[in-house]
Formats: sequence, structure tokens, C-alpha cells
Amino acid sequence: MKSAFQLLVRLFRNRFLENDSVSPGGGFQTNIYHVLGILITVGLIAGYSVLLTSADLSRGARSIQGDWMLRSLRLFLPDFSFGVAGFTALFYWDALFPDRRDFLILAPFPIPLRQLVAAKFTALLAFVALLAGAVNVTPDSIVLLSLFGRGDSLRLAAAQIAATFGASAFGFLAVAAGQGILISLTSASVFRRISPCIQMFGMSAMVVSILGFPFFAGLLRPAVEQKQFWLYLFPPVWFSGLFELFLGGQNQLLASLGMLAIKMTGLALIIMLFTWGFGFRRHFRRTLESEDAAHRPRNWRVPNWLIQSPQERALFGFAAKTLARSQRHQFFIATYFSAGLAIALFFGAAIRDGRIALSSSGARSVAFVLGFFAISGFRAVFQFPAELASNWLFRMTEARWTEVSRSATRKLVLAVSLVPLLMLSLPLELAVWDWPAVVEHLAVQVVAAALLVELLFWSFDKVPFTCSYFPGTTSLAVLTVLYIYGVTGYSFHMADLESVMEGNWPIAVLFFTVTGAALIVSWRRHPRADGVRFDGSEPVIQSLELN
Amino acid sequence: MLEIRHLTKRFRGAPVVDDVSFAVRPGEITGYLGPNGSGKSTTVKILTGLLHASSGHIFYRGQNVYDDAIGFRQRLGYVPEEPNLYGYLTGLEYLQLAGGLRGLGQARVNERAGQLLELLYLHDARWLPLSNYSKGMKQRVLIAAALLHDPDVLIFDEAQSGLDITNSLLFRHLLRELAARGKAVLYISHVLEQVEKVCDHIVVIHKGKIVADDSVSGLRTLMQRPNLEGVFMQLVQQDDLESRARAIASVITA
Repeated sequence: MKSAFQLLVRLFRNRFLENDSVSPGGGFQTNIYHVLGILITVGLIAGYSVLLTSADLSRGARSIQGDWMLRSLRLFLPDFSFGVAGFTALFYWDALFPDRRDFLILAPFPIPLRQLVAAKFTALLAFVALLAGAVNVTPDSIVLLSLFGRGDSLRLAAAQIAATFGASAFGFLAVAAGQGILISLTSASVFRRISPCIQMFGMSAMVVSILGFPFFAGLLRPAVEQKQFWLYLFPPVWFSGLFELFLGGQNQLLASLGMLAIKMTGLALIIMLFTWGFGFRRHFRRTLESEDAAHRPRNWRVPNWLIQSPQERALFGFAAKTLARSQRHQFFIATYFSAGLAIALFFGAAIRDGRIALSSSGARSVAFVLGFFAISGFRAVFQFPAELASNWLFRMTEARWTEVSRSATRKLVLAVSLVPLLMLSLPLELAVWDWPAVVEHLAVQVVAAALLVELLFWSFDKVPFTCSYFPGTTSLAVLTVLYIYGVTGYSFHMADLESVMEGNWPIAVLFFTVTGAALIVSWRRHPRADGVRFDGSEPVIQSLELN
Repeated sequence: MLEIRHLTKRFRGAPVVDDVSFAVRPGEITGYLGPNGSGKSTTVKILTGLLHASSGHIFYRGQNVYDDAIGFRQRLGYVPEEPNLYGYLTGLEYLQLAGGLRGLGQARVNERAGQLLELLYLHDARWLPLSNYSKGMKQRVLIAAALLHDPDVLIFDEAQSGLDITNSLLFRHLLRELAARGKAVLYISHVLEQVEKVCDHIVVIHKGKIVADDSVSGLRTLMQRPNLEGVFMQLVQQDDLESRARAIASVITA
């Protein structure tokens, strides 16, 4: 018979690992595992190639340039470990500390509060160990194998393990410590309100930190030589400094950053223990006592010329409110958008004199890359239901939803992806180009985004956030290839086309005429008449009815 | 009149609703009773179009509802057994959504929703997310959503579940008022006292089959029982509940 403490540890551990993918509501969770799976696989492949190069570079005498190349390569695995651990900790933000659900379920049982928190802490440590192992064991094993027979292999192995596992531990502990501080300083309702923003921006930052590695690697040497401040704000660099510290390297700044990594990991652990230790009783009481005050939510009025019918207005409002209030859908979009941001960096920015500079030709494609990721992100996120059990309302009231939904969805996607994108990119573009070029660029962006929406939503015969089946049959490999071709083809071709049109008005007129006609034809197209599908075939299990 | 004729629904070959026929007349409240798992909710889900019947027909005003399912749903108001609502919407927003989906203009929805929330004692909570509502409050939002478009047919599936005494009494008066205004009301409930007080007509289903279809007084006379509880117990042949309760108490005290 297990003790109450063991049962609690198992309960909390399962909350980290719970996967309801067998139920219709599990699709989103499964997708996050897919994302993590991709990250781990990418880390394994990239880590392998990085390690081969670094193993090659570490043999024999090296030039100064070779030394810096090795240092840049050694940044990759700590960067990757930190990003994955931080992303995961932020994703599980609600499950890090015992939350309202835990307290409500467990409070009636005769369990001391300190036992509850100790069990949560034990489960958390077990989860950190599992995650750090999953991310680091394989690449670290490859390194250790490659070191066989070398004189400094022990120190190098220690540096490798400390850098990767340390970065994972710090990524997780820093998030947990940050949460502890917030729990101690803020009220329960403020904590609840700010948590989604922290999660969304934090997860985006982690994705950018992983996918932006080539930039950080390229910037490392000039940044260290010029003692740039960002080095102190970017933890993966601290952990790559452990190599310098353990191997007795010549760069004092990197060695001191290695020491900073050790101190900051210790500090994060102390802050976490301290804030959790003092904050849990207060948090327990305030979580149970807190109630949401009724306040009128902001109501954005959609103009009548944009949405005419009550049904379309209802679907538009429903989808917009779901996007505005559902955290998991916001996280999904944020992950998509941050991936787009990191990729846009490759296309639009260049390193000049040790600093990131905007390239004029690349800037043209940045907006297209971001647009592609935003629109395809909405296409994907609309597949995930908000609350499956509540879909009966749409089924009960169905009236030509296919047509109504197509129109509402198209307008919503353009409103929530294109408008903010244009507003964000406008200052940037004004800084690079003169205003006629900016106007032309914006016009091309609008038309291109409208075309992309038509293309991606061509067969979208659903009400957003209401379908109970997932597009899970498409192979991940096929999707990846489609995305690579999609984003590069769309962004580069549109950017090329735009530069061809620049100063060549007959081609510009032809472009806008053809695309305008294509859009009108598509908008007037009537969707299939077989209606919206809310679920798969019914019943799910069918008997042969042989008797 | 809403007529259900020879309705059958099979799951994996086994009939859950078996050759069910009855009628719900305008101006009347028809009670639909049966023990758990007898097929009540399945019948209701077929009536509302959430499930398809294996066989049988449903007629409204003499027309097969499958010929114009959307037209029938426009005349139907439904309060489901479970208060499944979008928890991140406020009470008022949910009614605006329901009204919009039913094709009502914004001004009309806002006016009716405001009035209904006020009359159902929900005005103060109109800006709260539905996830913060109690079960009784959610039920009242569902009742308001079902009435918003002035339907001709109303189906209340355990609608009084979770309502406090005041709202329960209000709901009983509301049922009578709706019937008096010519609505056809199908009322599913386990609270036999309530059913006995408000229903004009009772249909009892047991193991998927209709076992009684008569007025309350007709059933009492036929079954020679003083009240609906006695009639119901005789019809569905429940166990000796007193001895079962004794057995439960014995399990924990043994």
C-alpha cells in the first residue's frame, strides 16, 4: 500500500504527463507533444552535425578563428536545452505550483499542507530530471563517445554535461522561481490575469532563442570582444562559458559567464525554495478565497458593412472571443508566430560589424514570412475545439453554416493577422524605404495575404473551434516539407514579384488586375452543399450486426 | 402538433429507443418520464437533430421534420440535460451568440436578452464568465437561450436541475404560462411531484419502450395508485428500495 505522500507525488507527476489524446479533446495536447518531439529530433540531428564539426575542430592546433567557431558551436546544445526546458516550464505554468483545482480537490482530505507542497516539489524535480534527460542524454552520449582516448576527455565531458543539464535545470528553475516571486507578491486575481501574458511571451521568447541560434552564434565573437550587454541577459551563453571555465580557456569574459551560470542556477533554486516555502500557505488561502469581480468585458464593435447577417456576426464574434480568451489557442498561435519571427530573422536581418542590421532586400520578405506563419497558424488553430460538449448549440441552430462560416472566418483571419502585421511593420518599412515604396509594399502585402487566405481556407468547411475531429492523418514529414516549400515559395516569390513591379507600372497593373479578379471569383464561389461537419462518422464504433 | 412515430435508435445493434410513438400537443405540457438509461435523452437528442434515428419519423404540423430540419429547429427551443456552455463567454454574450445563430438582429437580441436576464435574476451576473456560474445559474441562462427566439416547441430536459426553490417555482409557473400561450412543451424530469403538478399528459418510457401514455388522472385511475410516484414505481418495476437502502447501510457498518 502506497503512503499518502507517494500517492500525491504520483498524482502530481501524472498531471505533468497526462495525455488525453484518446479523447477528442486531446488533440491540442498531442500537438504540443509533436512540437516537443520535433524540437528534440531537431536537437538530435543538429547536435550530431555540430558535434562532428566541433570534434574535428578540437583536435590539434587551431587558429583564433577556429577557436571562435568552436565556441559558437558549443553554444548550440545549451541554447537548445535551455529553450526546451523553459518552453516546457512555461507551458506547464499552471501545473508548477498546486493550483485552485488541486486545493479544491485535496483540501477536504486529511493531508497537511506542507506534505502537499513537498509532494508537488518532488514531482516537479522528477519531471525536470525526465525532461533534461530526454533532451540531453543522446547528444551528450555522442560527445562522450567522440572523446574516447583524448587527454582532456574527463574535463570536456564534465563541461559538456554541466553545460547541457545545467541549462535545462536553469531554464526550468528560473521559470519556477519567477512564478514563486509572483505568487508571493501579487494577489490571486492579479496572478491569474498576468499569467497568460507571461506564458505567451515567455514561450515565444524560448522558441526564438532556439530557432535564432545561427544569429546568436554569429554574434558571439564580436559581442564578447565588445563586451555587449546582451551576453548577460542570454543564459545559454553563460552555460557555454562553462567550457571555458572547466577547460581553462583563455577568454576571461566567457569564463566569468560560466561562473555566473553556476551562481544563477543556485540563486534560482534558492529563490524557488524560499518563495514556495513562504508563499504556499498564503497562496492556498487566497486562491480558495478569491473570486472574480464582474466587470464588463471590452466589446469591439464590428461595422455593419463588414458583417451583414446576424449569423455571420455571431460566428465572427464567437471565433474572435475564443481567440481572445482561450489560453491554449493563444499559446498555439504564439508558438507559430514566434517560429515565423525566428525564420523572418534569417531572411530579413544580417550581421554587420557585430550587430544585427536590417537588409533592404531581406526586409521585403519579412512581412510575407510573418504573414504566412500568422495565416497558416490560424488555419491550424481553428481545427482545435474550444469546448466540445458545448457544440450542440451550433448543431441545434445550423443554417447554411458552411457559407456563413467561410465568410466570417476569412474576414476574421484578415482582421487578426493582416491588420496587426501591417501596423507592426509600417514603422520598420518607413525606416528603410520612402513612402511610395511603402505604399506599394503594403498593397502587395494585402493582396498576397487575401490570396493566401483563399488558398489555405479553400476546403475549410467547419465552424472555427467546434469540430471534434482532427487533421491527424497527415504525416509530420509531409507537413514539414509543405511548410518549407510554402513559406519559401510564397515569401521569395512575392518579394521577387514586388521588386519586379517596382518602377514598372504595367506589370503592377497586370498583377493587381489578375489577383483582384482571382479574389472576386473565389469570394463568389459557393461552398459544397453538404454542410458543416462537426464530428467524424457516428457512431464511433460500428458493429457488424451479424446476429 | 409534434408527433413521434415508431422511432427507433440502435447502438451497436441494440435498441436504446424501440418503436416509440407519442405526441406533444400545442397548449399542453407533456411529461416524459423514465428511469436512468431508459432512452429519454436519446429520444430528445433525436428530436433536436443531435442524433439520427435508425428508423421512424417525426412530424411537425403534419410535415416530416427531416424534410426541413433547419426550419423545424428554428421553431424549437431546447434546454439540454447537461449545462454545457462556453465557459469563457459571459451570460449576456452567450445569449447574444444564441440569438445571432438563430438569425435575430442585434438590437432585438440585446433587448430580449437583457429582459430575460433581469427576469431570471441574472442581471447582476451578466458580465461574469459562465465558468463562474453555479449550476442553477447556468440552467437559467440555458432557459433564456431556449426562449430568446419565441419558439413554438420547447423541450426541457431536466431543466429544473440545480434551481433553488424560488427559481424552481418560477420555472413551474413559466411552463404553465408558455403552454397557455399555445407552445407545445415536452418536459423531462425525475421530480415526480413537479411533473404531477404541471403536466397535462404523461408518457413513460422503460427500457426503450413506451409503457404508458395518458393524462395524470387517467394513469392514476388505470393503475389504481394515489399518486404519480406509485404509478411510476409500478410501471418500471423498481426493486424493493427500502431493503436495498438497508443493505447499503449494512455494507459500511459490517
